[in-house]
Amino acid sequence: MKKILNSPDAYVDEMIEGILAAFPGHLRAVAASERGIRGIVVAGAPIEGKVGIATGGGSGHLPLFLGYLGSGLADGVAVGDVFSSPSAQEMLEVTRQIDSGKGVLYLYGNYGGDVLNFDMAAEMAEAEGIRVATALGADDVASAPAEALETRRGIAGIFFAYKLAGAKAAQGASLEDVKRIADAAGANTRSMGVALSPCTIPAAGVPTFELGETEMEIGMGIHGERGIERGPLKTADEIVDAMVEKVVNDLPFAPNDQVAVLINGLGATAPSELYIMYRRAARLLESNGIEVYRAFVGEYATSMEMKGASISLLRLDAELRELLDAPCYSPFLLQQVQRPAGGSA
Amino acid sequence: MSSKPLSAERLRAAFRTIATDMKARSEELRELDAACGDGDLGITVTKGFTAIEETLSRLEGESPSRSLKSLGITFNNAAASTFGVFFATAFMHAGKSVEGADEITEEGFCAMLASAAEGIATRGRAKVGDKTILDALVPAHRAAQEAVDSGGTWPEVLAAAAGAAREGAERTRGLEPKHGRARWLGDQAKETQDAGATFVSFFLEACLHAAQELTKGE
Repeated sequence: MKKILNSPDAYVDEMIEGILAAFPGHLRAVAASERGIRGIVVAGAPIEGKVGIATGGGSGHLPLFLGYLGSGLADGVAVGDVFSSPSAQEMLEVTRQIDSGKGVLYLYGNYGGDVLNFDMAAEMAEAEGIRVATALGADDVASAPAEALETRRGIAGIFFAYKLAGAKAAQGASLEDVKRIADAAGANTRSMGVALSPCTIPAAGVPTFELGETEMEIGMGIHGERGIERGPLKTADEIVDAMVEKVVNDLPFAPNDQVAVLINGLGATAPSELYIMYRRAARLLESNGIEVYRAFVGEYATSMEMKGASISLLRLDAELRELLDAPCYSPFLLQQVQRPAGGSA
Repeated sequence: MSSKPLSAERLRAAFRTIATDMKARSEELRELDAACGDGDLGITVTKGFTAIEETLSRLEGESPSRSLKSLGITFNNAAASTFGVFFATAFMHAGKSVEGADEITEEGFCAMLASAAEGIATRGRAKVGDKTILDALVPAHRAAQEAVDSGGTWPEVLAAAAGAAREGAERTRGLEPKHGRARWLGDQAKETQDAGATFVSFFLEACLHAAQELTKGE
């Protein structure tokens, strides 16, 4: 295991300390739990008159989940150990700190441990008089068939839910309306990933799975969950063709649909390769009569040093488009997320 | 054994005995969990019940309902884990089922068991036969209710519940596990008695013991 760290046991603590030090004035730590600081909220929380948005999950996926704290985005995050769920109590502490009386939306990826602990947190919060609603990211087409939509795993496509629900909340919308938008984002997003290498959990010291030198696995999850097809590494165009076809057919996306596209790097894939992928994706979509409204290319949900990428498509309508274009700010989102005036790209 | 309804104060006194007994059996639970889980149930039980012991005095004046809910949350906060979540769920639902009552009767105890089972079944999306806590808890509720319906009081009701839980836990040997880590552990997990169901069995035996201790003090 060749990582830049001091000790596996301190990995998450030191990551959090570094983030808090890097962005003073933007983030605030929630009081330490038994494990240390495991809750972070935006510095101004709770924001008056706004629904709070809480997210959370295992560490190792930055900018997911912490990176989506900011204006026009989420307000608080419960931080788990690497690839582990935060506890119910940790999520409850975050919830208390971001509720201004309008309630809190829990928005996170569909993983068993997280659902269990966050449902528990919601129950405890409700007992304290804080209204909680939940919306899950479940965009991974490879993880379950269309007949079992609600069992699908959440991967990078949750970025769209943060953006849209965050924008809706910033308008002062009700909890019901913010949830409606988060659910709409989820219902209109489809994703699929491909892995070229495994990653290593610091505490484990060895890779989470084996993948041959010249192999790839299409449909692999962000924790190394089994995908749908393992085989020899193909060309970028072949990989994109295969993934886009499955994603398009799943919703299905149809001619004249307008979409936002996300090409997401899993942590160890060169940005140039993500653009090579986008080139093919853009042509494919055009030949399918699908209009690309905006493209997002970069690292939005990683798995530490996993080589690979994922493609997400979000089907837009007028309402979602307006929310997508709304301004937002997080120091993690280095890419321009606000469409500049003048309308270029 | 006394047949008095259980006041909040006596409920909390009972938990002192229950906590001591459960901590004494944590090693047995650890062993079972090592075979069909990740082996942390022993630590979970020790941490959880230690926290419960420390919280009991702070609950003075609280109703039985509030006490049960608080103890459930306390357990999960001290031992955050999948089991902790189910323990808290069970206690919060049990607490809800006796809301407004100053004392718990045998009938109330049955309502608590039923409510706890329902909460766990919903949260865990599990049912009897899946090789879980429910395989002991559901038979325990049924036996307790039958004892109450036949005119039984605390001694008969608790003994019936504990006995049914013990049998239910033993019957999980050889069952194919449908949830949790056991699902991926193969034959060893199949042969071993489920740790969660065994916990329920031990817990109800501890309740019976606690009731006997309460009576001695009266």
